[in-house]
Amino acid sequence: MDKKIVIPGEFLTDQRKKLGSNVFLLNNKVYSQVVGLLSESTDYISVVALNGIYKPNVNDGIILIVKDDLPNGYVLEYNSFTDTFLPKSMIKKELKKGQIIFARLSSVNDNDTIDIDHINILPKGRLFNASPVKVPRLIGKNDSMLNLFKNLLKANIVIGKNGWIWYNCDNYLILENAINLIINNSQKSNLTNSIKEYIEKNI
Amino acid sequence: MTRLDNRQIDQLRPINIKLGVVKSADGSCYLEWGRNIVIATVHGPKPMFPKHLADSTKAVIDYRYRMAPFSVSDRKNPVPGKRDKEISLVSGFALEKAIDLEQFPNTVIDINSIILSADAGTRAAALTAASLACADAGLPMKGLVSAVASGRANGEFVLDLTKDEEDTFDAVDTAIGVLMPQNEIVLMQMDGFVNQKDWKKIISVGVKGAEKVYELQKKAILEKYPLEGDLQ
Amino acid sequence: MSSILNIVNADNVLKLIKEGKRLDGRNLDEFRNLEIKTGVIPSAAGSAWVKLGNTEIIAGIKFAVGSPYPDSPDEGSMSLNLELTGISSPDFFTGPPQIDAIEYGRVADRALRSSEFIDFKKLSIVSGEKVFVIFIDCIAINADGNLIDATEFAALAALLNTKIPILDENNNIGKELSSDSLPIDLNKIPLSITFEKIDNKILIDPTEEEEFTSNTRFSLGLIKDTIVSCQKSKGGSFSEDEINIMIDLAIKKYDSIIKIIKSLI
Repeated sequence: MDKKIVIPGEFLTDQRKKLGSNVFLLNNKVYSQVVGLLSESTDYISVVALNGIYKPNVNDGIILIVKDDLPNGYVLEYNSFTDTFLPKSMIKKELKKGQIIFARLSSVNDNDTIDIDHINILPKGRLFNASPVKVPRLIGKNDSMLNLFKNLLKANIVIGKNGWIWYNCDNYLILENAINLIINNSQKSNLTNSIKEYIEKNI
Repeated sequence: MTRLDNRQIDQLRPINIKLGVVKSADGSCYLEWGRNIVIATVHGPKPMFPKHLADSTKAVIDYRYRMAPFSVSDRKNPVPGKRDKEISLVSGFALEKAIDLEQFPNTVIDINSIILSADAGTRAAALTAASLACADAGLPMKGLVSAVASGRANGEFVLDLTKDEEDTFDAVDTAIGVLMPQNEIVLMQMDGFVNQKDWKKIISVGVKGAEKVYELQKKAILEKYPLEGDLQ
Repeated sequence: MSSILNIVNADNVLKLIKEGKRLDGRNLDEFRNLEIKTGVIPSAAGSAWVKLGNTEIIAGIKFAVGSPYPDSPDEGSMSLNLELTGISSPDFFTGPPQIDAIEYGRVADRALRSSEFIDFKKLSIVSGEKVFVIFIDCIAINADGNLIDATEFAALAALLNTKIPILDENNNIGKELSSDSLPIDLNKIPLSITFEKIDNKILIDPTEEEEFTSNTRFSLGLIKDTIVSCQKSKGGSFSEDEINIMIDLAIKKYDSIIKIIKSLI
């Protein structure tokens, strides 16, 4: 199917289909809720957003930063519209303000706070802010893009589902340019090949 | 019948739009509309501070319309006046209707429009740009807000009045914001002196004009995301 | 950018600086790419849009008729104002100018003022009574460090692009602009050049991340090799040698930047 960009409020279909993300139903008609790429099959319709903030999902691997160290726990920021709180009883090691951790999102609560487990403290490194909607393309099919970074650029890199990317890499300039190219061209096809070419030309 | 600037009565001034111009913002829009120039940015949704201003059921919109000191003929004091604050309030209401705020309880969405150059119709230009900045930020929306001025000048019912037309003896000037494609009126501010028959014509010109603005908004979004071509 | 990321990335800036490197790949004594467009605001008497890397400032010029200062009855005057608003950063708010904006604006203003590159005597209208007042309003569109130099460059470019308005019969500002430029001496154009010190290394034209990591700043205003203003800021300190190193470096940078500014005329 040819790719199609849709905009908020755009009529998509009046057929009965299972609704995926970023669409809404009004008077039996389906409309897009965001600027994005239409994804439609005979029985399913959704829109892949081209920008937007992180909405927490259980089992996501996310990157968090310690924002505050309180007597009973830590306030953690994770590139979403709320912060979260981690009681000190949940973690053996002591954390410091500004420390970066990678963890599994274990539950989303009613008041929009989240819980995390499988907490890993990441060493010092660079944190790069990408939009969470670009994460699937930054990782690539079967990790193809991620492997380019690891193999060609020898990057030590962790991509959080929340759009934060942690890395240590001597070729940091090429890596950041490549990430920016993916972000700015995420709507295009054959991106992995283009990025591979870019890296090989500049390394 | 053409106008002082040779436009048809239902013709917009030239409009030029570019999305994503401000790198540090979550969404942004640069818009030229005749001699009007606006930049709109969106930051958020983000946690609301102080917390007592937050709404536990939905996001709060904080829309600020303001004019650069050099945007008008006599330098404007940078401190926002009553006019700026009132326009900010009603334009913020218009955006509230367009955005699905319930997805982000306890948060605030900061939306700023700054008029860099002003030549009639700035509130409509600012709202049109702000709505595009929201779409650019990836906010979930029912549609876009398309805004325009319509009114009467020299006995004609005209779309998108210029400063000269606003100053004619019989001038009626109405700012209309329409949630598109649903065609719901979400902003309306008028001053003038008009009977019911003429008023109906003015609204009809405005709503049709908003559809034209909507087409240009759509085009601007698609231009940001070319599906082919070199990496950029 | 979110300030929490600045906290995290400060380590990274520091680590690279120790090796004499910067995050954007520049040398310590290298400016970012400078792009200037003039005449961008139809409602202003002069205007410029400056991009210094990712920092973007728009400057617009307006004239008013005012009274001269008692000690200079035959001289016009100018006033520079920098606004950091919610447009450019979630951390700035619309309202009274914040202290940072006041400092940046005043440092840029001082470089322009001390250089005397504008002949204010030619901006008198009625001796002792009426003079032209030039308002330079600068608005940050995107803030990524070194707002002082970007503001000064934008103000300069806008002033060079300015046409003086025609006065009406009562000596008030009319609607039309004349074809007259400001009385500017092109041999006296001042430039602001700003440095930060991180881990005892001096770097020029800092990004926001670098500013966040540094606790010492030095801004110089100069015409070729003549110093017209300076400001040491933030909580750290410099040695006498370091000050002299920065002055040498600024003098070396003057020609390449002034070439870009003069190419606009």
